[in-house]
Amino acid sequence: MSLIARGLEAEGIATALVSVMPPLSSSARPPRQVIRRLNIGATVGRPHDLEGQRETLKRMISLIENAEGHGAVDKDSKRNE
Amino acid sequence: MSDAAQLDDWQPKFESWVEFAKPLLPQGKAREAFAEYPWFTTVGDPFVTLSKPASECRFGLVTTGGYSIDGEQEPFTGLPTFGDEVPEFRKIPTDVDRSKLVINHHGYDHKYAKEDINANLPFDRLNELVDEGVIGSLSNETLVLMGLQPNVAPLINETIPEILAAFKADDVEAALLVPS
Repeated sequence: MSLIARGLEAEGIATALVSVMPPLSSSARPPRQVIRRLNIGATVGRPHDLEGQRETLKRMISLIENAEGHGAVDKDSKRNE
Repeated sequence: MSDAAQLDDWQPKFESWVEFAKPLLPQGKAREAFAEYPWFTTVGDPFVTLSKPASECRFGLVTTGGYSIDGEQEPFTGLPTFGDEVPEFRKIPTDVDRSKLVINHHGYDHKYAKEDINANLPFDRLNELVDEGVIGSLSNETLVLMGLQPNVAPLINETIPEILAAFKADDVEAALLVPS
């Protein structure tokens, strides 16, 4: 998925990736990623957790709007565990 | 330098790894096989900034959730192999009849998506963000792949240009990528 992000970005489409497996996603160096402590299969948020799902998407959008350079990361802090 | 330019260096390492890994997988030794996988090294820092606020931009969604539309689209088959098969994607209209969506990807637990599809295909949340003016609009189609693609060469050479063409045709300016 990081390679897709890079391919889109190289042709002018801004991207943000959500990752729950940061060693894997980071290995290919995506332009922007939001790293969340969530499960594979629920990478946007837990079922029916509307606020959690919105939070993931809004953080991705915010990173697209505000990141200043390649490799930007917005990572859950420990309080989200 | 583009990622495609790095393939010449990577492909011999990948081919050696396939020789090593292929006999292990039928023995259930996937962990041992993938411990030696030659991760693809990217060079260069592609990065673009929006020329206007997100509230005025058209957003697209890419997911590796392996969804297809039952009875209308060819289902994805199995997990990707080690060959030169080009990873496919399906275009799912964002206003699709969700009762027709099936998940063909058996590499992750479907229980979350069955309970609430927004867990990994967040159509409702994205439509709300459009209604609230957080993003300008949502693309007509979401692009769905399978993920788990050990041979990145056909992905880089063929699938990614096709994804780009599909998004450009849909006037997408920014993309959200959700793996599963």
